[in-house]
Amino acid sequence: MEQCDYDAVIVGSGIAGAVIAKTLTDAGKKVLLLDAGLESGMALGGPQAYQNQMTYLDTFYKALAKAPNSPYPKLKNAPSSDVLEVQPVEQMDHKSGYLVQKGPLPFGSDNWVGPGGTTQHWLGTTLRMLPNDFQMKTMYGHAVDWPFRYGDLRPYYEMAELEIGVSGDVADQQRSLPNIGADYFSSGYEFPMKKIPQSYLDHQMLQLTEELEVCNPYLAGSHVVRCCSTPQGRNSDPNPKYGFERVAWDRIGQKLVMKPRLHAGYTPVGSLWDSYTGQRCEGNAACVPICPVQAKYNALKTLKRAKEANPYLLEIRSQAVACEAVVDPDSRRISGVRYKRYESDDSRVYREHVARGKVYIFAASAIENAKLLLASNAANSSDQVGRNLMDHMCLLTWGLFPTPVFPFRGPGSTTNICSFRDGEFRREHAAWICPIDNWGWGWPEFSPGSNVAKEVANGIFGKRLRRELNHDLTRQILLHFECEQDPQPSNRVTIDPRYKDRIGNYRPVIHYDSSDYVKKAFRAAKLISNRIFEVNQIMDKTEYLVSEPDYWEFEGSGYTSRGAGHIVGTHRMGNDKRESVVDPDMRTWDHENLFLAGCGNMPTLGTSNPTLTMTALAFKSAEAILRQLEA
Amino acid sequence: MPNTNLSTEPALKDIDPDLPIFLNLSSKLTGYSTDELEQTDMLETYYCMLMKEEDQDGIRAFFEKARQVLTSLDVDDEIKATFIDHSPYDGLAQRIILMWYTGIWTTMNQSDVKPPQARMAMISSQTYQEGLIWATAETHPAGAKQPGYASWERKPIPRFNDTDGQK
Amino acid sequence: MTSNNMLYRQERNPQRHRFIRSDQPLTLAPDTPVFEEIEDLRQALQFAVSLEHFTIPPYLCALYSIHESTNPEAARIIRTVAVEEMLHMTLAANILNAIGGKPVIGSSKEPLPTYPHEMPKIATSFPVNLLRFSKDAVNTFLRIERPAALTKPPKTGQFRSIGEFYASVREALRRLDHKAKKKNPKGIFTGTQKQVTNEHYYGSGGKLFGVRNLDDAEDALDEIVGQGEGIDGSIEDGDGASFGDDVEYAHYFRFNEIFHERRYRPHDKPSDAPSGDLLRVDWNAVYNMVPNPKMSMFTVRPGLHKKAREFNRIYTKLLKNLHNACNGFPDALQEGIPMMHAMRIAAVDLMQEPCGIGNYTAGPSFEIVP
Repeated sequence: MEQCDYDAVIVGSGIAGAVIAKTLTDAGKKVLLLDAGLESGMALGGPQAYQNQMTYLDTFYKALAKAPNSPYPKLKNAPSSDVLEVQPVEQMDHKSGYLVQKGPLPFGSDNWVGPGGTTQHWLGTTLRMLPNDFQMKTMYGHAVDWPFRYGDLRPYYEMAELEIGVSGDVADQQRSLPNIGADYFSSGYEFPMKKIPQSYLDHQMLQLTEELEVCNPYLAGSHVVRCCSTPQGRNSDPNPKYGFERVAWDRIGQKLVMKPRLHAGYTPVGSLWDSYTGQRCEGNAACVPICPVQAKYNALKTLKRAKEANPYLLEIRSQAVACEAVVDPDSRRISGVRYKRYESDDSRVYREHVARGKVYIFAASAIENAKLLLASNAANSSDQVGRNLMDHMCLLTWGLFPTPVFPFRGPGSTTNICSFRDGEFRREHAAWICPIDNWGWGWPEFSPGSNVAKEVANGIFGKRLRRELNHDLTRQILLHFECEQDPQPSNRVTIDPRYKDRIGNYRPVIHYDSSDYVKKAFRAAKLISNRIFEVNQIMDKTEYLVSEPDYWEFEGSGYTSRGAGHIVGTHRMGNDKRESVVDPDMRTWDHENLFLAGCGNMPTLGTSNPTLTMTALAFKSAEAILRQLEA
Repeated sequence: MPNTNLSTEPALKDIDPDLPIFLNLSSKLTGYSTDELEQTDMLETYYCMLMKEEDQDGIRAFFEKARQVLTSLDVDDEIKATFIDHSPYDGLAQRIILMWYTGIWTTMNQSDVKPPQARMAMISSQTYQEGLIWATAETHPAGAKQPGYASWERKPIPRFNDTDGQK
Repeated sequence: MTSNNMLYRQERNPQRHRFIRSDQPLTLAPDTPVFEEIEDLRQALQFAVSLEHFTIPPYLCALYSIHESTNPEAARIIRTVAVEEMLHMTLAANILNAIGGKPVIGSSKEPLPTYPHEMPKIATSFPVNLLRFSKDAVNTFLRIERPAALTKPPKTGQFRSIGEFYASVREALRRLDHKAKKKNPKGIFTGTQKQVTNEHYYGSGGKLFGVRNLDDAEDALDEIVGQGEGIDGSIEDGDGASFGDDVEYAHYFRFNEIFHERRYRPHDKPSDAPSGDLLRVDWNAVYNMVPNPKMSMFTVRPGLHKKAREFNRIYTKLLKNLHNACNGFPDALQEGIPMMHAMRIAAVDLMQEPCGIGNYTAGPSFEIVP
């Protein structure tokens, strides 16, 4: 075997890469982590970290469109997708922008390439998947089964919840979640922190919505609406009963274990620059795109802990854009990762290097991992790389509550309707989760700014303007029915030599569409939303416009879909190497020293935000990587 | 930069007679009292924005008109007739309202292209935070002036208590 | 020992406390006032609560007057100190609760001085004002925190410094508890009201804990005095490395860094000015708040007066909330947190509006309103 500088080379500094880097270095392994973003952005503490946050905030305050990536640098040498670039496919000019959208529907979600990855702009919701999500084929005859069950992943979920620092309530979830069985949580399990308080708005909605009976056009009988507080990676009151201190590598047993604390309790992890800041969520109500005090988890917190614990084992190399995996033609092992190191984003000048390690982990995000593998002609004997691209397709409904509910406050969502996350209806149509949104009509209509613009354009001014705006803005309600998309091989990421970025790396080419499985869910969800609005006397103000990019018609009605930013599926796991890209340990079938991390591994999406699941998977594969390194 | 400073030079409002007119007109246009507008500390910033961006003669004429309107018997009616209906001065009155509410200034191009092209920009990170729209919604600017842990669980403590409006 | 305290002890920085608690018997100066009986001690602890309370509005005025995003270091230091003073106030209330007393905050039974005012019971001759961030303000903070190197002797019933006052409290706690233990194993620690712990109040580094016995009470006093003066009155005597990144040093020294616009180096002597890196301070990036604002100053401007009154309304409500929290209902503090934030916003609004007195703007007056 050739001389390797590192035990592992990791591409990507998002939560998957960060967790694997930390787990490996904690176990004494030498790791090189390549990040495509700016070196200054990788500051893990001190004045530079503070300065970065202040700069991001300043950019955010001044942005006209407060899109998810708006605070962060737009790098030409390491581009990110941007929701502001999304238009109807016919209108798109493929010369500009990052994603090349071939349609028929434009892919409406974005992620961020840079230090900490998309956890910089994520909302922070940390939901586990449900047991039936892992066996869709067996239970409902749709999609595929995972190569293992929920129970196999459960211990890793606990590790993920410790690493992120999750605030939640076990009893709430046990009471409300459908079909979870008695073993959903291990006996006596507690979250590190108590649940984030549910909003005043939630409490007004819950009164008539909880236990409401509704009908589904695709299924006989009625269903009961149940709501649940939403667990999230955001600091709240510590749970005095929380018993774990850290995840550790048990060399003898060759597995990861959770070490118990000497005394129960938990200390919230605050901001990078000052541990006193960010000890609690302070209600900034801007989680997407940025938490000013860093009460919300971001992956730099994990990298900081890793660097502090093992400064000489973890090397982070910035402004390093991976462009190709080097495959040894005889052994089929990966012998290096070629990357382009740029001096500054002001110029296209770069130098190429090759990073070498015993094991390689691609953790660059679902779309970027696929792109990298395709560019390398690697790991694709199954022809599944880039395929089965999935997202939550969201149906938004909005209106005015009869009395003030005071939105635009608190975290983006503190309660969700969970009764349709699983059930027999999944034979007919997609499941959904419906978070109750705390931020008014911001998402569909760019409120509150758009409201004042409309009123003023109608000639309203003075006290009447103030009164009318106050009346409407304090009553704004928004629901989003986030529907699970089924895996379709034709929904995919590909590459094309005609489409490259400034330093010659491929731009992702996306083919994307919806299916009747999702469209039926939209129809059912809209009817249920109508019922919820009716019972609560919410004046429906929902409008779907033909001109919107993701508009379609189904069974006589028009709907607009929006992407949730939950990008998964592009290099899925399986038991059969002909139908999957990685094995249950997330090792590629084709190359025994190449592992893939992130949401691309997920064969189905379920109805949860995928971050918690992919973090659990990261711990699972880190365990397998350590076994392999020590074999 | 915030305006209230320690200099011993005379305040802008003491030397420019249009500034108090701007303040009073803004109060009428926005529905907020002059005290409330002053508490945002944005008065001079917005006034200077106007002076910098708009045609000088047009602005002076605008303020001359405003001076007259503010002394009329039914100020609200006069404002509507003079500044709102038909949006004179490229809709300046509406642009002033939007500026106070959102911190965004809308420049109308000066060329002969019709209809006039609007270009919008957030004036500064302070104007974003001091936008009246947030207090109007009984909340705070997203990402700033945070109201504290668990505040979203109960009714908000309003920044400007509206004694006139109905709830 | 409660598990809370065990957590706290493990996290304590030994270096910071090097100067403070020795296990030797405590000797007070012959003219230091003594708290003879338990009722005297309870009154003393109530005084401690009021004293800590008294220092907070001046810190907040200085803090709020700093323009947003400027002077980050100075703002951080003052904010940390203000938070720690609230911590001291709560610790004192916890001790008082523990010995069977009932803390009073913000009601007519706790007469609050209006500013300017001299510190009660402490032998100083300087008034404490509500000022915008300035050298004058920081100088006042230094004098509050520093044990006075006396040029004049204290009057009867006065203490040389805050540190000396707490030394007398400590002496009384030890003496009275020892005496009471002859009859009752709990000694004087008979209180049963729920106390405020870091479960209810955060951001102060987790140093807020319940008091159940003499050890806890002494820990609490160590915390208060340690953060305050740091060296038990012997500021001139420290040797060895007192400063540096690992040492969390007392309020006095933090203010000194702002005043001199320099950081301490690890081997600077406590009696010297700091000699390290520059600490950038922009003394002009502040609101020109009128000194010692009062609601009555603004009556000619009704809108302004209304706002000044609104600030005081929230302040009064907050004090009631703190009172409840310290009297057996610590969970109530969750309602108090948003009030503190709303106060900050109202204070800055006041400081942004000219008040018609010279070039000054208005400011928060911290008056109780019915």
